[in-house]
Amino acid sequence: MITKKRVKAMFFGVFATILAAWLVYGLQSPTIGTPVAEAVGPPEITPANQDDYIGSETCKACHEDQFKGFAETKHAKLALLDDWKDKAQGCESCHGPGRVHVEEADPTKIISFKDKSPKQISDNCLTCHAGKEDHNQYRRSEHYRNNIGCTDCHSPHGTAQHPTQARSITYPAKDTEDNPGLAMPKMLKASEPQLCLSCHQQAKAQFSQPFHHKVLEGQMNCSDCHNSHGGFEIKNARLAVGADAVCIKCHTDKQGPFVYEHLPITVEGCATCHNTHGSTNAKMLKRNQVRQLCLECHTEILQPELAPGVPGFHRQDEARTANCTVCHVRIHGSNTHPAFFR
Amino acid sequence: MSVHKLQKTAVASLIAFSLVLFLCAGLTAQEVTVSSTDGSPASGGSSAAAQDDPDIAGGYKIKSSIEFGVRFRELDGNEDKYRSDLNYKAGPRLFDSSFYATSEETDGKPFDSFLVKSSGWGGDPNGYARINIGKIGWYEFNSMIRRFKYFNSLANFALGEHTQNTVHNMGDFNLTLLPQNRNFKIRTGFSFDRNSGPGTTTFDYDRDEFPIHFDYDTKSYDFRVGGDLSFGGFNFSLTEGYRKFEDKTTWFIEGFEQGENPGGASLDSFNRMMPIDGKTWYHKLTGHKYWEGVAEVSGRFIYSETETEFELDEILTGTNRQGNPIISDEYFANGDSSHPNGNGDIGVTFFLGDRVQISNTFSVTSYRISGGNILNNPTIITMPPASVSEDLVWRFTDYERYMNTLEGNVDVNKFLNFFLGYRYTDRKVELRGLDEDLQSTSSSTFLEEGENTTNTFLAGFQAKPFGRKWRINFDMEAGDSDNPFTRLSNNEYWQFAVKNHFAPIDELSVSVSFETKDNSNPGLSVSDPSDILVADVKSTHFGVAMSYMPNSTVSVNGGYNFTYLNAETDIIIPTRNFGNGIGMSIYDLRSHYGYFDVWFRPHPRVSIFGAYRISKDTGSGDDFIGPSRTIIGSYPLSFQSPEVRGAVRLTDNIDWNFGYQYYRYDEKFDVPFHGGFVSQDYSAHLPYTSVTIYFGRRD
Repeated sequence: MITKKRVKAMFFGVFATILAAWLVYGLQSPTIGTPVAEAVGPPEITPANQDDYIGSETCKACHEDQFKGFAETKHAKLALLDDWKDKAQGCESCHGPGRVHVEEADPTKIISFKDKSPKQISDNCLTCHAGKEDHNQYRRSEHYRNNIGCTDCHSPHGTAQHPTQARSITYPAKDTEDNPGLAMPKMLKASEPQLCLSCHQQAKAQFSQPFHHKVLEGQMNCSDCHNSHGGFEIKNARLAVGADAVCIKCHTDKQGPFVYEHLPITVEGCATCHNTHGSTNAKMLKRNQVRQLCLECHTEILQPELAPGVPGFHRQDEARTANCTVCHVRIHGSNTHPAFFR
Repeated sequence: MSVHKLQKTAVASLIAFSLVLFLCAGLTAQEVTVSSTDGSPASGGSSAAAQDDPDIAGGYKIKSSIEFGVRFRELDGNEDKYRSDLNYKAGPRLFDSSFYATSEETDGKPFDSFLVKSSGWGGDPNGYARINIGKIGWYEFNSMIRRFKYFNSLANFALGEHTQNTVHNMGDFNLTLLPQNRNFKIRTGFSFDRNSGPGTTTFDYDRDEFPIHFDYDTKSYDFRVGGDLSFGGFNFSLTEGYRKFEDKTTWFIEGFEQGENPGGASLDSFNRMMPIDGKTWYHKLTGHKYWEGVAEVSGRFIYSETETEFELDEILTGTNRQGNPIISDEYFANGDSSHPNGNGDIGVTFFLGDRVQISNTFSVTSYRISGGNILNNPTIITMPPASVSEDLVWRFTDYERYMNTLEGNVDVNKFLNFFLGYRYTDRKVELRGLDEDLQSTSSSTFLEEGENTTNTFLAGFQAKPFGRKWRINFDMEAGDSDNPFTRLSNNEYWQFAVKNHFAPIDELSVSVSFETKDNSNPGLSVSDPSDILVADVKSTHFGVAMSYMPNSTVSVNGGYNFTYLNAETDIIIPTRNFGNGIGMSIYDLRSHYGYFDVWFRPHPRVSIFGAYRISKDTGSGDDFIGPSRTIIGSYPLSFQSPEVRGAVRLTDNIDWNFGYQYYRYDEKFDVPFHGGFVSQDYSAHLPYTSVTIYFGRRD
């Protein structure tokens, strides 16, 4: 008889076999043994020999398309700043000195990122972009460990120009040549949220439920609540004021502190009861009936003050007493009533 | 206005509007160049000078467009539900609009990048405007202003008596000075938040529930200043902030109110003011150091202290449930609360060669919430006699959490990497309280503690069988916790997720994902430890998405997501005849979400967009009411929205847009509402037309 445990065991067996095969394959790979730094090597920002650098204008002769986009970016404009005069600039700040590449017309004599891993590419970006508060945790982020690198979202040559086209009546379109948006100054490959949803497709379904945060409509961005570069919080959530949940920034009246706190909010957070992306239920709740959320905790499994059981007069076969928040109105916290009546 | 008349008006307006636009287009027709023979889009210009350099003004390259138009609306069904879900209104509308000016030169210019983008003003319930200005080396200014018109009136929430029709305005403004300086930057910021408008709620008095009105009014302001400092390879950031917030909501009734309880009390007047003022000082320090190829350390320390003060002034008159007139029942209270909070985090990563990284992240959170009030309740009732009560209350909540995550990450080769990890948390919460009757000087105290630990194992890999064309991500997590604080928390659980992104050619990408979680959370009844009460939650998600753009004239996107959630929780249910007893709460989500959109350009002047989206939850099927002591809270519904939109290029600078959107919401069961049933179904027809004017458009 096939039991659930056997199915799980079979699944993990298959998974372990595949993993082992990959590991063996990896050991036989010709890339093993080649030091990554040698294969990629973040370019030296300070040139050993200034004569090896030829300037971006020279690159333009052959790479006109890349140059055209790049010229409008902040990367290109760094050359105008005194603070960066002693540093490699323009194309060669990432691709390394170009003299030999130009003189010998040899594509292998310049640093190319086509075959580099996302981590290697990101290491290159971080030679300048590390140290910024938002980026400090990147090398410990979920994106990094899953090989999602800087250039999976950012375009160092400037944002691609999508053609203008008819689009949804309610959802703003991607940034286009004629309708530019934040993607351009931030050098993103596409504007939020389309960029994030291209991988996080489950979130698209959640944001399409009847009750949802207005992300697809453009009023909110994924980055309002998540730091895609990583952070100390799980799910890369951002902290708002005073280390409270990010939700408090907008939902001011839930901030407290209250004389009577509702502990799940302060201890576990808003997502205990709410689906934060979207839900088929009112108020983005995790259950259709509010009483389900209440009764699933208030069932005498914790001590009376931490989670009191429900007194007998809360008859669930009567509408009046089966809708908890009709009486317990201030369920997020109250200053005057221990049962959140006022 | 009847539906028929509305339709006629809408169609006539569309035709008239279109005619005017075509006439305008005719006037400028001489400027339009016929499309080239190779089928490339038509190009044109207004003047010879503009033709030479069509989008340069004052040394800036400008790209800009503005779209404005009008939307019509015809609605059948439940308007309250429609407005709670969508709230799109008929009338003028300003949709996607942007202005972007850039300059490659910066000397003598106040900015070299200027972006203004806005969307959703007018008939839309949500709108935003964004301004980003910057001058390389000098400053960056980022701002976002948003407005949400929030409407909520649902028959299936709080007996339909909790409604809201508010406007929420928010703004964030951030300025960074010397943004590209490698050693020093200054950051300042300001945010505001204002939420106001009318609504209804309920008030519990004398074992009866009364519908009451409120005028919602909350505000907050946030000021912050900080800087970044780098020296010797160390990077530090400091932020000092102050947040002020207030809640000036008032509650009242407009006349006689009979409560929900038949034969219960009634109110003749009711007024409540309960202003709350709060402030937060917060401080954040972060540090970072990277030793190339050896190690990286980053840390963060946050301390904040929030304080609130409140006053309560509530007075009511009416008749109590014994039928005695309430001449006056007043509640006066004042009190305050404080919330000091500290967070410390440190993460260290060691790089063992080029392929192995080991990192450890340690976090500690500690806070205390303490609050107290004095509540006076002088009551003048003919029977029982007048009384005065005066109570003092204090509550303390202490919380500590330690979390440590150890992870190893190995790049086997350029096709494969994997990671393993372990996360441990230890949390402790302590609740203390004092209740004192100041009239009799009697008092009581309590102290309760809760503690739990969690152990979580993490593993996963990413493979690229064909380089960048195919990417497979696998993540799994398994863990347990003891005595979780809420039964919805993880106890013994495991989950795994697979994401598969396949892009065999540049024009096509296919993503498939699968994720499943299993959480079993048993608990023992405090009053009767022989009762084992289990919360069992299983969920699975499957998703597939496809994007195909074979050339610059066609694109197709589609996808399907299925979410399965089965939550069965043992609960204690009180009933009229049998008192408290063990029952079950069942929530079954069977959510299907499918979407499909296609865009194509059949002619250089014309592009068409069509889309269809449907969200369908089959819930618990035909089960509306479960067996005795069972609550079922998952009912079938569907929400769909097809739309089509066309854009016609009239001139180089003007597009005419027209579209139609349809929303339909259906629930299998009508909702119980005040002794009867009400349908929440609706359908809405939203035709739309607009013009988009482009400045600096290029072909």
